[in-house]
Amino acid sequence: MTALAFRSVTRQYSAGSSQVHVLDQLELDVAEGQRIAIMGASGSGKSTLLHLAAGMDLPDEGRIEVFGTAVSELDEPERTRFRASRMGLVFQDYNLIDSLTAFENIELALWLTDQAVSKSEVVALAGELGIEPVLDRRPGQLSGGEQQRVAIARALIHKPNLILADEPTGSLDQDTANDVLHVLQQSLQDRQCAMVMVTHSDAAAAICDQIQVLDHGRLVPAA
Amino acid sequence: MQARITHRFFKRHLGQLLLALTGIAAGIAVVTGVALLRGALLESLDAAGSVLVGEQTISVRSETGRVSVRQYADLAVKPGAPDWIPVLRLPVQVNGQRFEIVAVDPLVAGAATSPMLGPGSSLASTIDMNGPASLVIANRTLNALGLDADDELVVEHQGQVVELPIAAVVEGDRSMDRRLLMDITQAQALFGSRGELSELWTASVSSDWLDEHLPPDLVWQTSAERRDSAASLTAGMRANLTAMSLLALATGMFVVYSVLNFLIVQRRHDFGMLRALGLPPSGLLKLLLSESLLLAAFGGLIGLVIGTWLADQLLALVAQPVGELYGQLPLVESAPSPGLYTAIWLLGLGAAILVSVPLVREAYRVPPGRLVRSQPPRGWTLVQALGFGLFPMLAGGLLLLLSSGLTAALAGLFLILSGMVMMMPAAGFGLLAWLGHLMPRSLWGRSLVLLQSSRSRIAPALAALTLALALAMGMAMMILGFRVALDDWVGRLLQADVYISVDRTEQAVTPAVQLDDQTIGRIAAQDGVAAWSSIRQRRLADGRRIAAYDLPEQAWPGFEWIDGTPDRGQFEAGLAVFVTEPFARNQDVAPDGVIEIPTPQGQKQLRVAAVYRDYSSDQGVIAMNGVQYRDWFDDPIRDSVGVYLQPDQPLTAWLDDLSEKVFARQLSWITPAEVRQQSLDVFDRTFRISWALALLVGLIALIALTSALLALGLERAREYATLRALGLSPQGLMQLIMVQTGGLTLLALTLAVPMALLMDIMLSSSIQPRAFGWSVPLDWPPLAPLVWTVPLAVLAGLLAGVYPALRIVRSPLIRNLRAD
Amino acid sequence: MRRDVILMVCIASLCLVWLGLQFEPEGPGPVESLSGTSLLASAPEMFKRVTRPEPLRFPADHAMHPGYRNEWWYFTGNLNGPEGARLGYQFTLFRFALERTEVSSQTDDPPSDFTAAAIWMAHLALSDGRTQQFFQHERFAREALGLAGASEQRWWLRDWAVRATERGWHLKAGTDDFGLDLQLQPGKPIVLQGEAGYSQKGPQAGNASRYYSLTRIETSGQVRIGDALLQVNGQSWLDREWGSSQLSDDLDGWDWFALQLDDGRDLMLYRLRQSDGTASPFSAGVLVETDGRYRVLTANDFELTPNRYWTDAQGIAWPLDWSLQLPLADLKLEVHAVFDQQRWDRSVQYWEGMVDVKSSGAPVGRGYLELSGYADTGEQAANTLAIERR
Repeated sequence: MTALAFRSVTRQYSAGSSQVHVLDQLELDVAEGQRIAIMGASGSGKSTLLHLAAGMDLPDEGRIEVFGTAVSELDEPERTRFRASRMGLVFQDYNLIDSLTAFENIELALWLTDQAVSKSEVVALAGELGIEPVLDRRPGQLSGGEQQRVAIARALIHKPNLILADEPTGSLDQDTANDVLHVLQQSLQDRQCAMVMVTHSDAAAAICDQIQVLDHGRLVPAA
Repeated sequence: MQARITHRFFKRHLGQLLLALTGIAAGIAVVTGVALLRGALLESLDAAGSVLVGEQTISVRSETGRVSVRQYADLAVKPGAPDWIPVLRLPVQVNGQRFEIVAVDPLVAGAATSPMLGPGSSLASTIDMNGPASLVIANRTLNALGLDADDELVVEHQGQVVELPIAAVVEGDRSMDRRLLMDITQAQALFGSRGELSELWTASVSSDWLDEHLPPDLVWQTSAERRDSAASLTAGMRANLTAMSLLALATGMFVVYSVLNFLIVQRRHDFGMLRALGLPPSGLLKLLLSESLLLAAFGGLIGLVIGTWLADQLLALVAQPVGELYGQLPLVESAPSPGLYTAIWLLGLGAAILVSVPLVREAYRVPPGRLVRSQPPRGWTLVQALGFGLFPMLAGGLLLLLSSGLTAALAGLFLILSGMVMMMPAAGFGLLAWLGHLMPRSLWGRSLVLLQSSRSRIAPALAALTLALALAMGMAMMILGFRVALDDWVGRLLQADVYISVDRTEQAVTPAVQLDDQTIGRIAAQDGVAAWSSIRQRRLADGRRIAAYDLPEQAWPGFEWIDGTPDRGQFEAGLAVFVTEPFARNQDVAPDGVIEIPTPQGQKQLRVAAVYRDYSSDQGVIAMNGVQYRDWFDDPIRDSVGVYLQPDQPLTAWLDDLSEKVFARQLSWITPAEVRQQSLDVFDRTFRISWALALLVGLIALIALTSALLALGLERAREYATLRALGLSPQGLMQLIMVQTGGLTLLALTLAVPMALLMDIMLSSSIQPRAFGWSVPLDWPPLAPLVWTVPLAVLAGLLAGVYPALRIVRSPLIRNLRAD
Repeated sequence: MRRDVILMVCIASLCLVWLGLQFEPEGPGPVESLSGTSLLASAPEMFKRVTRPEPLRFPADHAMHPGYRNEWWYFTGNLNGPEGARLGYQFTLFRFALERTEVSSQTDDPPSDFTAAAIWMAHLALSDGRTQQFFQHERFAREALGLAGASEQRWWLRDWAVRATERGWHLKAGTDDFGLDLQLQPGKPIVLQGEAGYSQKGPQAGNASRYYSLTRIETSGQVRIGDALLQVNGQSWLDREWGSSQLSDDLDGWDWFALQLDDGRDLMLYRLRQSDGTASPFSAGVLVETDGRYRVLTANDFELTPNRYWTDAQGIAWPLDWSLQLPLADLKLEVHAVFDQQRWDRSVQYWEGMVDVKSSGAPVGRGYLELSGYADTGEQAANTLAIERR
């Protein structure tokens, strides 16, 4: 089954009087468990593609399906619920909640999907990601790498089938980025979880099965 | 360039600009309103005479309240007598407002041209003594009534309604406010008050002449002295108003703080960039300060306008009680001055600078380029806060203990409240954390825990809201407690079944009946009378008041003793007197002390046996034995007689009997229930102003809350967006924010309750006695204010949260996900 | 940006202007409307009128005459003080009846203590020839509560009073600044002016008053100026007059002369000035011989010519020096104000002061001159005409 499919998806923005086609009749297929990296110049529409996939934005034309569900045809609450239960999101700036501990930040994803929280599950995942010792700390007390690992834990804890990652190593130094990429790759493989990652980093793209480049609103396989 | 940055920013955030202006304007408006109101009360100069006659007016009054016409005629023809102007003052109602008819003899008053009436015009030429009764009214008063010069005024005096045409509209000055000038002949004929005058005025007369010719029961005062005593009458009321306005200002400053804070939050990114581009800290200081000052200057102007309008509305509220309690008429509208406006405006600028200081400090901490996300200041820990808050509280407590003045007490109250406010955020957030941990997995718990990260943003709003709620509830508790005390007092005091006095309206057309021994004898001789009491009140030349009582056994439970031993035997033997609590406090007399009173038989010394509770006069009263009084003052008249009926005697039948057989239509009577109702009505009108101010403070607090929540929304936009991205539905987010808002309000309420209780206690036991001389017995505080404040405040808090919540929910999710 | 700045400046200015409007005006503004007082207007129908001669009885007619619109008791006098001090005085009681219904039906129980059939005005003035100071004081009272009135024995307004004595009257009145305490003793019998006291002043019935005078009254007593008491003696003049609407509408004012000649004769003349400036044919006078016999004079008998005008601070010109011709008595006299500033500036504006009488430059007598209607305009003029006499 296809994890994510874009069918002739067009997204345009008006810039002044002219229309800019960010995505133009774009086609994309991500199989279950498949990891795809999307690269491209700044402003090429990578993030837009990711937001469309997450159901946080809607296409002007075309159809987006996640595990057979036409996300673009759901209403807002349904999309939110769908996103919460089937997808995990990883951001460049981690987007952790300052007032919550690492544990609570991870737990948040379960709470939002109305799942019972199993402390052992969280601890196990944290152990897997190497952040068990810092679970009771707040984001301000964590390093960038630790924060991103917490964010990855948050994206995985509710067992999504699709991870959407937006420059997950963009704010990290090379060594830390490599560590984070490593645990991310490991975790995804273990769970047979598909991922669409938007990145500029070749190293990040390297953990993916396939690399596509977004150019003039369309995807082309990387040379 | 700097101006352009500011302009661009505000242009993009018009809503915030308006909110900032509203906050500043609201704070300034309340201060202006109350300041002007104070002025209007202070200037409620009972000085019509000084304007009509001149600045040196001397006024002659009787110690018993009225000057007889006979006395006037005698004084007028004495050798070397000045031009006496006979004056009859009649309290009247016009359009439901309290007015006063000042009836004079235009012939004498008009002999000199009067500045009040305009250049070159005299009263004699203004009032048509030949024509039908008519009034002279000042332009401003007429405008305030919304009438034209052609209209007739419907004037009500003691139930009698008369329509009077306007003879002339004069420019007048403020002493003509709410006053209607009239020919004394016409006034007497219309309202039937023959035989008595309120006072006599004259422009100039030597004190030697007065000493030689004035009868002993008449006293004289210069207009300056009268102004002073008029001002001292309302001193307590004005002090309380000032305290209220300062608290309102404090609340307003929280608003200004929240608003400015909010503006900085929004621009932290800009500031980081500017600093990165090389703007020195001093440049940032200049930018922020000039923005604050510009906002304060502009908002202050608007506040002055609103405040002036507000003052007139408040004035309408107090006019009636001031008239009833102090016999004074406030101005028809407030009298602002350029000095006052400037002072308040500068106060606004000062407040803006003051609250900018911590914000500028925070802005300084924004690092250039903003490469690392800064943490907002954490604020004090609970222990720190307790330490900092205890200090002003202790100072305030000491001030209350060591000083006996009203100002000191208000300052003490202020300090104690400040201390509590300083503890408020730490205590509040402690409570919040605890609550959050109580229900860690629920939306409620999460929402509250999420608030913790915005502590420094919310703390001022929380403090403002708490202060405002405490203020409103504390005031309400004090007022209601006082009302209960007053009710108890009236109920206890009025032991008789009915109180009889001479019907003043009837007196006009029938030969005067007087409540002397003979009349009382006839009343007492009626069937069914078990006992009777009587009272005669007299004002001494120095302003003290005597109440001379004849008290039967049944009347004695009417006293509530506060201090000393009420020795009945000594009282009835004329060896001792009792004094009221305000008297004891004002005159600094304690039981076993001795007071001197001037009598026609010379100075008499009296021992004070006991102090009793009394709310009838904040000047104080000496209660003495009636027999003794009549002996000394040769005054056989009583003001009223209380009749105690035999248990089986129905009141109505007895009264019918009295009116038919004894004194047809010459006496009036009132039952204790009616007196009680009237007293409570007066009381309720008196405290309307306090309700209005409490409401205003509450409104300002709501503005503070709204702006703080908006700031919160902006600062937490990324957090909220993350939650949305992670799967929190818009409704869920809305719910979360509303829980936060409601939670904050509840939190403020929880913190406000102990504060309100403390305020109630301090107001009742410390401020009231110092302002008015009387204390309110400490009792369980009335809980009614809590009962309706809680739902009202929660509702208001939720409403205040709706706009910020909607803004947050509707704000673009994707953009907010990015770090700012 | 400029637009927004302008908008803010506009709002701020609006606020400032509004706030500025809140301040108290500097001093009182103009009076919006004032009713002319009907008190001083011509007499309504309800008042009695003087239409023909009627016998006068004394002392009954010294008392007030209710029912008439106005009445006065008018003393003037020239006095000699110590060291040749020259003094003049005026003491007048005016009674103006009010047109209340109660006037005709005075009940025992009036609705107010102050209900009055009339109001009274008293004018007290002293001219000090040494310092050329003119003292004036005015007071009013209602005819109620015993504040003012006139009986055979006493004419008074509060403590200013004239009491009948065995030989005449005792006048006592004063203020803080000055006062009179004078014994008055008539030196000649009562003079009935006009036709046995019926003094016609206009063409219509009722344009007349009852008018009698005592033209020479020996006067002695004390005058007080400040704290200084001066012993004085001299001659006084009393005019008594009452009526309703005695003046016709077309009069501007009058010039009234009361002259006591050193040869023992007294001369009273009044010239009623018509709107066109000429003397009314109803102008009149009387010449009293030393023995008290007198001759009534009509307009044609005498001629009065103003010679010098004094302009006061308000710019009003008052004729203070006159030529007087009375051919039938072979009198050619000059009348000079002793000094100029003897002008009333209270409720009624007029000139009333002592004068010297000369003949061919030699002093031949003294007197009092009253000039009325010069300071009045419009409505006030009409009022003044009604209130004033002659």
